[in-house]
Amino acid sequence: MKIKFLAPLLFIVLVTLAFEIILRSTGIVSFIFPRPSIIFQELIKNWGWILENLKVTLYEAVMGFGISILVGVVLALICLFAPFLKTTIVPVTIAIRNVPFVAIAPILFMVFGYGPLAKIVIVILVSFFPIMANLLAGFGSVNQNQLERFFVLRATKWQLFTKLQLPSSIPYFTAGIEVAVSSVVIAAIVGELMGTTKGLGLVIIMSVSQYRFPLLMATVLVTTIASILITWIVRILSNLILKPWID
Amino acid sequence: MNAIEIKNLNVSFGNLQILSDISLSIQEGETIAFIGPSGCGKSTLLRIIAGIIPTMIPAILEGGISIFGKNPLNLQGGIIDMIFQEGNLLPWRTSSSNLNLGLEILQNGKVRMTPDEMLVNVGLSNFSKVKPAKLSGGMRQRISLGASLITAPRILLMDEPFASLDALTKEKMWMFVEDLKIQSLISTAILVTHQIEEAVVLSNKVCIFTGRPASVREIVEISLPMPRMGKEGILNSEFFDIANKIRSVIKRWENEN
Repeated sequence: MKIKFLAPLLFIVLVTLAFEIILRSTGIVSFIFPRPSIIFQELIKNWGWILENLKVTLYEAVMGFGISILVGVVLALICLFAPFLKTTIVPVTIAIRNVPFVAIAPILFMVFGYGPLAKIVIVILVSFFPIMANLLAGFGSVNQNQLERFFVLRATKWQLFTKLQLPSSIPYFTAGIEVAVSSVVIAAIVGELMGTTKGLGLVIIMSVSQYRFPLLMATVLVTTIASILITWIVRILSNLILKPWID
Repeated sequence: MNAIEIKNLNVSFGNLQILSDISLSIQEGETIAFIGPSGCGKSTLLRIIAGIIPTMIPAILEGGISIFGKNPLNLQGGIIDMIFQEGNLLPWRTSSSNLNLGLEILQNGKVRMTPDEMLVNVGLSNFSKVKPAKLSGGMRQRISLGASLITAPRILLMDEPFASLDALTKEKMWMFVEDLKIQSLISTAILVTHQIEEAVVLSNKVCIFTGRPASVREIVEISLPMPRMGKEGILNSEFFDIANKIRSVIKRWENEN
């Protein structure tokens, strides 16, 4: 267990050290390519401001992710119980998923304003699809023999759903959740980059416009860690809650 | 009383004829084995008896089929149950919970015994909280049989239930099924198998099918007393005579075609 956590930690420390040594020895200007030590100094110096904006981004990401689970599950259930709607829902969701955000961002900002709501909508647009698609794949993965046995026993539609289709789809659902959650923080930040008054996107915009590259790198570092932590927490939670159906 | 009555049944999937002029009657309490070349339509006939075809799998059926005098499509739940090569078990349920599945679905249906009592019956009382992944192939099939028998179905359909087991486990399973029959836990049953010895050990009749489109080539009656395997699993010469007779019918058909 310790080795499981120690190995990646050691790798990160070694890479950081290697960067520090290479950048110092080659004399590359820290203004262009800041050394890890400078990035950490900048992170500590601006921690209060970064944390304040991180909270906003995390709020958008978590809210958007929560709603996207709901949207994905509801759409998959509609497709299961009303198969005639599946041929409409699936192509429409694929179309929505492929609309470039840059193109619809002005509309979203006009409708929802420059606050968190527009970013939450962007997070939903990015993350609901893998949840819906995986859940649908899960419903379709039900063992044919089991379906036949449920038919022979004359199980009702509700019994078929609760006792067979839903539990069969749980591993697919957790896989869909993991794919979706890995992109929620970056989706919130991309939304903020297109127009915001708060959030890590704002910190990135400010650092770029003021040529504060160590601060930019510190923000990127925080973004990456936040993404990893959210993915990790969701994985642990889903394994805890859904474990009885995964084994 | 005839549990299953099939008269001049012809079945095709589109233009492809699967079964040709099948006529067969199976009495209540009888076990019949279906033997024939791979893909000839034995499992299709099993699914027609269960009503799966044409409800779940579309097909064109001509002729008559009745289960206790009724159309298979009009049967209520609990009359028939099935067991497959991979078993019946849901991987996320424990042995006890898998045994309970039929009772949960049928709710007001007949309850032969509780899951705990059935676990004792299948010799796995210490495995009630264990999930199928942690059980051996033989154990899984024992629980599967228990899960199918707990609601006391009047007809048990077995589609190559022991095909994936090794030879020794298979023989143990034959003895186990014989025991269930002696205890009257299995009433009417149909066994689809590729193994002649299995058919002779477990059935009263062996129905030999031709290749596709399958028709009944011959029905061999087996009047050997039960149990046929004995405690040591020894089969006598009479048993091998019948097995060889069935083998020769199959060979004869193969040579003719």
